[in-house]
Amino acid sequence: MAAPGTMKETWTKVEDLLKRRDPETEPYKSRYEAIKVLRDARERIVSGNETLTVEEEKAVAAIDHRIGLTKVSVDERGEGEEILNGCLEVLQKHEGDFVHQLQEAWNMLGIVNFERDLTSQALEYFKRAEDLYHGRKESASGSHFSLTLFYLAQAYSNLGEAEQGARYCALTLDMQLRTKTYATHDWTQNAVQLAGFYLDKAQFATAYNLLEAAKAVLREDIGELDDFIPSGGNTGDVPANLVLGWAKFYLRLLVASREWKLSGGAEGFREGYEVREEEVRPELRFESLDLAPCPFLTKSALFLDFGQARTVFNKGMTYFKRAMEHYKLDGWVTEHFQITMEVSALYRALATFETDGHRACVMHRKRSKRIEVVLEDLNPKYFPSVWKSGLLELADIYREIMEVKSSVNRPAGKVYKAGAASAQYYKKFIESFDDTDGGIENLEEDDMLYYIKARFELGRILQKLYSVYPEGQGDSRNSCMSESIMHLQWIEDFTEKHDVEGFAQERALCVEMKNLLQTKFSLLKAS
Amino acid sequence: MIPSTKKDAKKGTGIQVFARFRPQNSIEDKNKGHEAIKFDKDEKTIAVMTPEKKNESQMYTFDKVFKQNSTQDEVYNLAARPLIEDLFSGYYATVFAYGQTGGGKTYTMEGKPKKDKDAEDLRGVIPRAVEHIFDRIESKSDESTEYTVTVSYVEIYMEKIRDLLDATNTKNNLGIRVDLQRGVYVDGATEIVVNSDLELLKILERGSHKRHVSGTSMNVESSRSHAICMISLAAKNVNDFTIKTGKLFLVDLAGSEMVRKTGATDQRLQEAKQINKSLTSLGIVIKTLTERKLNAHVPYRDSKLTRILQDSLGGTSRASLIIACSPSSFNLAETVSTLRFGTRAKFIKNKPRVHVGYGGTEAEELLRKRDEEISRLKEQIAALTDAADVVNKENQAFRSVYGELPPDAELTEEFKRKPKLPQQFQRAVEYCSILEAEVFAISKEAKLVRHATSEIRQHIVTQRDVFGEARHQMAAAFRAPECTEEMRGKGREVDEILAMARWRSEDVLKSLRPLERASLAIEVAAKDSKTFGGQYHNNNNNNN
Repeated sequence: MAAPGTMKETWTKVEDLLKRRDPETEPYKSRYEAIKVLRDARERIVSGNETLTVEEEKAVAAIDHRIGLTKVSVDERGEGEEILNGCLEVLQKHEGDFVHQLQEAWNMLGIVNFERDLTSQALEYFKRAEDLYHGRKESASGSHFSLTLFYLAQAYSNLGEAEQGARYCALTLDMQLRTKTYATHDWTQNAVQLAGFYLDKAQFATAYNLLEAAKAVLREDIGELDDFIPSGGNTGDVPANLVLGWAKFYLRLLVASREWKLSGGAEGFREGYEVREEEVRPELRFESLDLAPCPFLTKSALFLDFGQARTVFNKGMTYFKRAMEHYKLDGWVTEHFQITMEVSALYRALATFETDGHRACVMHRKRSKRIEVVLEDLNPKYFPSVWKSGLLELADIYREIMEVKSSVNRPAGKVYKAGAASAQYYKKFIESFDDTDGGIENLEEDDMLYYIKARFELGRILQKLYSVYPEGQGDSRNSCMSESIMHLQWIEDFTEKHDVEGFAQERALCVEMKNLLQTKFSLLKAS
Repeated sequence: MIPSTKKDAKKGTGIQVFARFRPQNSIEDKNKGHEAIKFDKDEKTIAVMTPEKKNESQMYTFDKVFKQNSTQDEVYNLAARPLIEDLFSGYYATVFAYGQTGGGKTYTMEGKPKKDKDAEDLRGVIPRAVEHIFDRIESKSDESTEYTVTVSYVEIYMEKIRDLLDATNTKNNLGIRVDLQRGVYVDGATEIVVNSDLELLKILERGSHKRHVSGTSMNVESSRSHAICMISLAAKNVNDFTIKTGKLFLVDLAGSEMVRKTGATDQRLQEAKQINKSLTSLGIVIKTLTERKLNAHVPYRDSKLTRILQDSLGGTSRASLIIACSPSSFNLAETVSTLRFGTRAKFIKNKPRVHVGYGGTEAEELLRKRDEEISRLKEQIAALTDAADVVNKENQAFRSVYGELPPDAELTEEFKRKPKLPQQFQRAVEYCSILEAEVFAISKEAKLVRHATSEIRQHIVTQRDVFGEARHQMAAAFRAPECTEEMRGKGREVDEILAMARWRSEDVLKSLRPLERASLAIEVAAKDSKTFGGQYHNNNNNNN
């Protein structure tokens, strides 16, 4: 063994050892060695030394701190934790000298406890690290603090507290900006993804800020990028995802306005929607980026009139088209389909603002055409999710067309045609579950609900078809009615045997409807 | 440990996890390692000493735990055989192997090298699967099915895909392609058609060798890369030209160190309570947050491994994960991390999910519509009930006037079959028209008969009078002087004939009388019934 060196030499050596990457056969070789070097150094201080000076005490604590952390990293957690706890007292006594060490220690103790399921203790440790940073901003380590925030983000999201988790993710992103420790593409992607989270919560202003920040950061990398998407080159998916993020922003805005319109423009509807700049949390304003305030995020960001709807629609559509230039059908089947579904939703929302029945139907037809193009050549075996989702969307679209046509009193033949198309897609959707392992009762909860609802819708449509059936085909007309009853009966029987969550209200209606239909049918047969 | 919930047990998630323990090896013995695990008698649960606190133990539950003395045959039969069977029905099947170096993964998957004396019994999952496939082909082969087996073999290291069957050594960074028809596949990977199990095994051996050799030369630890062997089985029916394709993925997953270092694992594998220490995984954390709701999906490129296995983990597929562990206290940390990986894998969902855009009808809208529909139905039913009441009343009136409809055999049969009022009416109307026509014909006939009889009567009356006149003339002639006796004799004969004829006429007239009465009666009756029929008919028209 090399002759004992100074403390400084020891630390250099330890640092070097800890950086090494060991072969798989001896993964912890260098770390074990680092522990040994540290132990030797400690031994030199304490051996034959009855009482330690303050400086010696501090040196021992620093060594123990590193030994503890390393022990944890080689999966000797119990021992590592014990050593860390042992040196904490001294470290805290000289807090000013050991800010970084304490940050690391709190972080590590948080992790160890969290993974052991000692959640509240873990959060306590992480919070200490957080408070320490805020108390000693000048001397504390920004990168350790970034990690604290990141661990808190994980802890909260792991505990199912998504809101808090997201907040700490945002804080982490903000900290990365402040400490200038970020990779442009990663940061952009993360901001876009997080914007998706806030869009989901109808926090438009926050989502807007995140997207703007993503744009600003990406601009550093690719240069000026106003509403663009670079094609080719090695730009990867990130720019396309940013474009998609914007597209979704406008889509959500339109969908939210649609809901407001459907509620009859109810006062108080906008309460749950965050649309004003002032409502954005400070950490989500990314002050270091100096973002321009959003011009239209005001109280009137949600709207009821067609003109505004069309403007938002056009913006969304432009972004979706750009995103689809990257996520082409050929090579990006699932992604392309997802976007197609969103475009469908965009048209659907716009159609709600359209008062002319004919024009509304044209909008719905645009939806169906896009989905039909994807499904046309699709192999259901390789894309079962896309296949099922597409069929269901088509069934819904044609049902909506039927409803519009029927509400503006179009001829029965036209209503029939749309309804028949819808019924056909509902049937295909239902059939696509025929090969479900162990039968329908084994479906995932969500899928189960879609399946049952599809049967319900099919039952409704068939009954509607009965009333608009072309003349002179009595038998097949009657079969519409009996099929309709059959589907409703199936639902009644199935939901009686199996508890289907989220269907209780519908079930009651379903049963009532079925009984009425049966009465009607038997009356029709008798007269 | 994450306890498996009741629901999972019921639904039997697509991925089955098997844990296999090898006996302590010599290194462990030398280092005074001792067995740090305890098998539960249910053969599913294993208790492991916790690395931190030696006197506590943690429990892990799997679909099956194989003890140290388990045979290769047992492992194959439970973890792989059913999957190979499914392959022939056109399913996708995946066998994953995971474990620390020295955990017995290679032994489980490949077995002992050929030169070993017990090589036959000690063969691992791969050679057994290959043999199984070709045995099945041979036993199933008939004139109507043609089987084609192709194989490709790739390695993923640091997110790069390398072709292990490529003779040119140039395919070191293959891309993943997604195609409407083919799904996800590795673009440009060499595919070799094989005809026998030996040929296939040789190819796999060559691939493994290459993985090993280049691994050292490029300073790549083979155990830090994932290796994926894809065996496709196409069964073509020569009669109808349909093709069923099954695919078997044999995946050698890199050890856990690797998984953590490159982040190459499926993020779903990390759902346990684990904190990622590196900020590079911030993306994963954010993605997890947003993925709770499907609608918020923002496209994100998963790791290469996930993408290749996308199909195998979704839809019509079966998957087994075999984790290979050491039982020794010497390797406890590795064993625990391997077992944790195994329990997390249990939570992988491999069912295709329906994605719904914003296209679905919102619940409230839906409920409102249902309510409208139901009230509309109720109105319709009320209207129908009213209509039925009217018809019933009319029917009653009809019956009270005319009684039940005539018991016609055919008609009754018809009624029995279709007891429907409209048809009943229709039949009755038709029947009435027939009757009406018949009655009309009869009355016409009767009228003709009456005319004829009265003509006959007239004629006979005339005849009788003529005969009478003739006899009168004859009597006058007898009294004339120029009448001779001879003439009188002849005259008496004629008079007798005339008298006879006249009597006959009287007789005919007498018998005509009932005939006349009958025809008159028929005519009157027919006239009456015609009036009745017409009335009925008209009534019916009004009802329609």
